Amino acid sequence: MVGVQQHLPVFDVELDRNNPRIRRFVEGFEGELTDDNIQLALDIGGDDGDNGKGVTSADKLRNSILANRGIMQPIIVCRNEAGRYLCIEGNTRLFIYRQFHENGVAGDWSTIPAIVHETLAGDGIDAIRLQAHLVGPRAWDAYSKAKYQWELHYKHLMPLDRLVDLCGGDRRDVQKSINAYADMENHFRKLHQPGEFYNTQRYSGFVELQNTKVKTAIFRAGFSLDDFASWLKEKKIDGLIAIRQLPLVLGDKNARAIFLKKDIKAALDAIERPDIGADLRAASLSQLARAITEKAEKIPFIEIQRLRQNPDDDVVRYVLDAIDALQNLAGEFQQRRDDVG
Amino acid sequence: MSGETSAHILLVERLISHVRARHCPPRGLLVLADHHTFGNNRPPQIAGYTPDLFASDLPATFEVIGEAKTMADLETGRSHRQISAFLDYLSVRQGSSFYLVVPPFQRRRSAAIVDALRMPAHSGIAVEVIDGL
Repeated sequence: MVGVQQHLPVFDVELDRNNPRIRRFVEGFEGELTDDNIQLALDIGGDDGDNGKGVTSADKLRNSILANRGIMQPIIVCRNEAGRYLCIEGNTRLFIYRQFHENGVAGDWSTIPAIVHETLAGDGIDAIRLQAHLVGPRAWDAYSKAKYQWELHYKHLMPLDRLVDLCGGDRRDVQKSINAYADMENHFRKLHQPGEFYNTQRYSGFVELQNTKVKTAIFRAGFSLDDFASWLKEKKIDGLIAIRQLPLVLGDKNARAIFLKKDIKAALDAIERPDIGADLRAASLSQLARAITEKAEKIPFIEIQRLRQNPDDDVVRYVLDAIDALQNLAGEFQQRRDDVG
Repeated sequence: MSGETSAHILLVERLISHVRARHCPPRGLLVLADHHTFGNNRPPQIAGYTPDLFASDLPATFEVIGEAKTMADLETGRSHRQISAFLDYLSVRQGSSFYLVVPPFQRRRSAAIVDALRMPAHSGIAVEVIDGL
């Protein structure tokens, strides 16, 4: 299966109506499926929503193409017997080129680099799709990505704006990666003897540390990031959920003492929390979620006003804790590879 | 405070350009702002409040929080709690700065409000109140 690289006019290549990425959107579509419909589906098809956490993966790709003034990897097309080109791999990139061309974005977006296959026989098209999306290129682990971003910015002096553009335009992503990497190198590495195993998987703990609440709680309780690194190494804190609980533990004198003596699990056991009773404890997550939704929708305005006046009220604290936990849970539900291409 | 009135939007723009002029680290300044040109690159929530601007170098050796307020808004209890929360956050970080931008001719009154909110623990924060649109 050998293709030939060419530059093809963007409107000479058809978007793939059978593209698996958008099939779930177009299957129920009634009426004629136009390129506009496909483009709309492609714009949302690679995302599970950005959850307010940053730019979407289609946006990242768009920003990255703009920053690079083009694509690094050609799209893959197949020429059928009628001489028409069909885009097998890279429909989102093709659609972004078309958008840039139509919107007069600076640069030449009229043609796109493509690997052109003459009529693919049998399962050739499926083989390309499967290799591109189900096997795909091996993604770097998070620590390696952060290390590379840090090196480019800190050692090789790549300007921040350029780095952000090349990484897809999400400044918070880059901020979190570089700060987490720097914190880990500055505080965790020095706890290791020469030759001692340096567990880069602990990087995720330093990403969690970038949560403003966690870092602030550590400093406010009179500790440093050296202390945090030691807690991680000694496994006084194990797991990301435990790190999110640090503000609660460090803010409570008794729990803090237990934490320093034992670990976070023992400290959390010692914290007094409102008794939620056997019935609530036995309720399922779906029941509790429905109950919270109903409560939130029926809360009297006078109570909202009271809580506005009292941001330190336990209700506010527990609601914010619940939002944190639910957002993290929702993130787990929606976690998937960033595979727009 | 989310961008709503055109006056507030202008104040946020003034805040962004002021902070960019004041902080020029060699490798560039990371700015997150509650302004339409920043898209999803909005500041993080701090103690339940989202500032209009957050800036730092990378890796962070200093942090900046900026807030734009119309006078009617600045005099509310919510704004006082919000500014106190931002000062508390900055007080435990090295080299931190807080900027408040207010409408023209309101600098003195606004500075007095911020001064009244400052606690001894906030003494390490560089605080600047600027006025103008």
